[in-house]
Amino acid sequence: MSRLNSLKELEARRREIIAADKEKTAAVAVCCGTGCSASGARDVAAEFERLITEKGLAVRVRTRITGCHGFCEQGPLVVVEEAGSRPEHSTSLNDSNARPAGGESGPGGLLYCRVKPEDAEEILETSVLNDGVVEHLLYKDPVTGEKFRSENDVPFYAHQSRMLMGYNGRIDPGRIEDYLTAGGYGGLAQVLGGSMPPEDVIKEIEISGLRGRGGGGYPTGSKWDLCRRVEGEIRYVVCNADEGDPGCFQDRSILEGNPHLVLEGMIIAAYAVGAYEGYIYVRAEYPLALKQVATALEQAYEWGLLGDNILGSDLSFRVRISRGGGAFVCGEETALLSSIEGLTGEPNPRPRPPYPTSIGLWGFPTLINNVKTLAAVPDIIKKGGAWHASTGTDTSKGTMIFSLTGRVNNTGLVEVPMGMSLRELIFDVGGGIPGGRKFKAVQTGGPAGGCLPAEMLDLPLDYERLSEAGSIMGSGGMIVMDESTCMVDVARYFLSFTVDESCGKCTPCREGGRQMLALLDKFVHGTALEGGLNMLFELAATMQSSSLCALGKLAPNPVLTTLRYFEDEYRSHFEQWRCPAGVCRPLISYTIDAEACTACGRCLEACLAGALTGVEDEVPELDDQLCTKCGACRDVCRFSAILVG
Amino acid sequence: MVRITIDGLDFEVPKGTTVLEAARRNGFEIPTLCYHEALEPIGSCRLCLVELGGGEKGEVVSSCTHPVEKDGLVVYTESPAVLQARKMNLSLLLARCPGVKCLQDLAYSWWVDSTALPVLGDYEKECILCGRCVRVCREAIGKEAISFTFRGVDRQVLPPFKQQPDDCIGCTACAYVCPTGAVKVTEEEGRRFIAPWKSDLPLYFCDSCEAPVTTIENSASLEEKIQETGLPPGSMRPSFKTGEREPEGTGSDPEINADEEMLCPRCRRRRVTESIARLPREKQDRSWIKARQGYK
Repeated sequence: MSRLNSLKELEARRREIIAADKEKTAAVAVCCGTGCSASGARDVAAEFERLITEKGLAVRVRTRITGCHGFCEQGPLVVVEEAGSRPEHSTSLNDSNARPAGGESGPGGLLYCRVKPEDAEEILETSVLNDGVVEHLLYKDPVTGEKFRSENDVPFYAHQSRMLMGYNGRIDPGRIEDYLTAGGYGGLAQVLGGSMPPEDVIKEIEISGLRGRGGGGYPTGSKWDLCRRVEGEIRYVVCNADEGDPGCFQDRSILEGNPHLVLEGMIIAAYAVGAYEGYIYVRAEYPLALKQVATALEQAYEWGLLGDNILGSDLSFRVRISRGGGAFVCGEETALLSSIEGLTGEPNPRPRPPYPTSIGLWGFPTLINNVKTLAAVPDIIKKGGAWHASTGTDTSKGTMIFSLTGRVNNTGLVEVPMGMSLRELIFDVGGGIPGGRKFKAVQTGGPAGGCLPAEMLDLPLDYERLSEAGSIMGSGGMIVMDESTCMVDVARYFLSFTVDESCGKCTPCREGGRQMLALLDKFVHGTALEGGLNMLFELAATMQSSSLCALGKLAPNPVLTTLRYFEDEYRSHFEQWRCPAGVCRPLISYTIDAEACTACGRCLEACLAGALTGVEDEVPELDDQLCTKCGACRDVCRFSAILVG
Repeated sequence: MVRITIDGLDFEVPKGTTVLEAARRNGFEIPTLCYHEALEPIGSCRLCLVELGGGEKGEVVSSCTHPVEKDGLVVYTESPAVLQARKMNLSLLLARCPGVKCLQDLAYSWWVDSTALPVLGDYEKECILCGRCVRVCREAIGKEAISFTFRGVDRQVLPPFKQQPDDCIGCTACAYVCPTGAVKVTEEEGRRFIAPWKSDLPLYFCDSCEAPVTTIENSASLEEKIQETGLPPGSMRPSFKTGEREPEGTGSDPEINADEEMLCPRCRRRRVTESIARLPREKQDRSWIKARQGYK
C-alpha cells in the first residue's frame, strides 16, 4: 500500500476499504488472544479458513482473527456477525458520532463458547449460511442455566461499558484496514485537520478528566501540559507496557488486540507535547504483543501514519519498540527510563520534582503514559472530553479495565465505568463465587494493593476511595477470594512476589521485605509470638516511609490491609495454633467423618503419601504421621467426609 | 546562597548543596553508609533519612540525594519517623551482616538493639551492598570492572560472569572506599589478589629498595590519565631516570634523563631530593619551597 500524503487520501482509502468489504455478507470472528489461543483457538481459526476456501465461500464470508474479547473463561470464543447486525461504517472522518464497530454497546453477533475445530463445520452450515443457531455452543449461565444468543445479552458483557475493549472483537490486529474501517485514525485526522492546535488537544484531555491508568492516577491533561511547557527541542513520548502484576493482562490484551489504538494515542500525544520520537516499552514475556506492535508499526510507517510529515502535515514522529528485560520494577518510571537507556532497570533516587516530564529519557522531557491511558485518547478527541467525563465519578472519569480472577465464576477482562461498586463487579459482572461458597475478600491493585473484606463490598471503585481503604487502583488487578482462603497465606503470597521482584537497591525493600516474609512464615507455621504482630507493623512502617521507590513503599499493603481487616485470623494462628480457613498445612489435620463416609475407596487411590489405609467397604484409617496434608483425598471425596480442622 | 532550617536553626548554604552536606557542615550528625564525598550519591542505605517540612504530612527522604534548591526548606534530622526508620534500617543491615564492625558501632551510638531481628542467611557476610566500590571503579577510576548483579536479596557485587575482570587494574580503590572491609586485598609472591572479584595481577618492584609498588596495569592506567590531562609523559610514572641534568632542570623533567629506573614513590622522592641537593644552590629550583611557605 502506498503512503498517504493528506487527510483526503486517508478518507479515500477508508472508503475504498469499506467498498471492498461490502461484498462479504458475514464474518466469523475467532478470538485468538493469548487466553483463547491457549485453549486451541488457532486450530479453530485454521479450520474455519480451510472450510471457507473448500466450500468456495471466500467471497462472501470472512474469517477474522481478533484479539482478546475478555471472556477468557469461556474460550475459544467465536462470534458470527451477520451483515445486518454489523454497525454502520463511519463514512466521514469528521463525523463526531462515528463510532467504532462494537464500541460501547458491545458486539451484537452470535456468541459461541468453548468452540472446538470439529464444531466449525456446524457453525458454518447453521449460522453463517443459514439463520440457525448451534444451541449447544451458546453461553449457559452457570447458576440459572439460561442460554444466551448474542454477546450483548450475556450478563458478563451486559454490565460492562467497553469503551476500549469493544474494538478488540471487531478488529484483526494484523490488519490496519480493519482499524480504519472501525473509524480508526479519525482522532489523528481531526487533530491534524488544522482546527485543533496542541493546546486545544491538551485542554480536551483535561476536560475529559482522564487519569493515569497505570495506577498512579495522575491527571493526564496536566502531565501533557507540564511536558509541553518545558523548554527545548527534544521531547519523548513513552508508552509503558511493562505490565508485571500477576494475573493482570489488560495492557497485553489491548496491544495484542488493537495495537493501532495505542499508536494513534501516542501520535496524538506527540502532537500535543511536541515530540519527535517515542518508545513502546513492552515486556519480553509478551511475544504476541511484541509481534502485533511490530506489525502495526510497520504498517503505520508504510501508510505514512508514522515517520516524517505524517499525512502531509508538519508532524513528524517515529516510534521504536523497547523490549523489557523481565523485571517488575521496570514498570516504575525512572527504572523504565534507565532500562530504555540501556542501563540496569533500577529506580533512581532523584528527588521529585523534577519529574520525567521535565528531565527524563537521556535528560530530555519525557511523557510516560500507560497503554490504557493512551488507548483512551483517540476517542476523547473524536467524541470530546465531555463525552468521556460523563462516565465515572466526581474524581475518576471514564472506564477502568479490571482483570477479574480468582474464585469468581466469570474470570476475564472486564471494562466497567469508574465508580461501580465491588459488589456489582464481582456478583453481576463476575457472576458470583463458584460452588455456592461465601465471598471473603478481594485483592485490588495487584500484589502491591490491598485485601478488602466483605464489609467493603459497596465501596465504589475510584482512585480516592480505594486508597482510603488502604488499597490502590494499581493497574486493575482484581483477585477474588472465598472462605477457603487463609488471609495470612494470601498476604505471604503477595509479599513473596514483591520480595522476589525487588531490585535490591535500597535496604528497607530488600532486607525489610525478607524479614517480613520470614515473620509471616512463622505465622503460617504457628511459631509466631505476640510481638510478631508489632514487628510486622514496624517493618511495614519502615518500608512505607523509607523505601526508594513505589515498589517498596507499596509492598507492605497486602500485609497491612489483612492485618487491618482480618487481625483475628492472624491471632488464631499463634494463639490457638489453628488456621481458620484450613490452608496452612502445619496447623491443620485431616479426619474422616465415619458417618458421611461410604467407603468408596476413592481417597485410598488419591493418597500418594500412603497415609490412608483400609480395606473394601470399610472407613479408611488416616495415619497423621504420614499425612502430608496435600488435600488430594479431600478433593476426590464426593461425600465431604474428609474434614479439616 | 539559599536559606534552610535544620532542626529549628536557620542556615545559609550554597544552592544545590545536598541536605546531607548542609547539615554536616553545620555540625549535625547524620549517619551514612553508601554516601562518599567523591562519589555520586545513590541513596541506597537509607540511613541518612531526614524529614521534610515536618508535621504529620512530612515526607521522609534520603538527605544525600536531596538538593537544597529553594529558600525555606525545613528539615528535621531526628524526628520520630526518621529515627524509627533509621534504626529499623540499621537493624535490617545488622541482620544481614551481624559481624560488621562499622554497623555494630553505629548500632551502639544510635541505641539500636542489634538482636532485634533474626539473622537471615550467612553470618560471615560482610557486604552491605552500599555500592561504593562499584561507583568508585566507574566514576573515579574510569573502569567498570565490577557491577551489581542479580536482584532482591540475591543482589551481589560481582565482576562480569564471575570471572577475573579484564577491566580490573588492581588499584584497590574499591577496598579503600569499602565501609565494611568486605573487599579483601592480599599480596603474595609478586602478585596482588582482590578476593571478591578474583583479580590476580602482577606487581612490579622498586629497582632501588625492592619493595612491591603497585600493579603494572595500575601504573599504565595512571600514565594514560596523565597523558589525557596534557602533562608531559612520565610525570606520574613512578620511574626515575638517572643521568646528568641540565643546569636549569627542575629535577623531575624526564626528557633530559637517559636510563630508566622503576622506583617506588619513596625512593623516587629521595633521588629527586638528592639530585637537587647536588646542584649549586642558585641553580636549584626552590619555587616549591616558596609555594609551601606561602601556603602556610
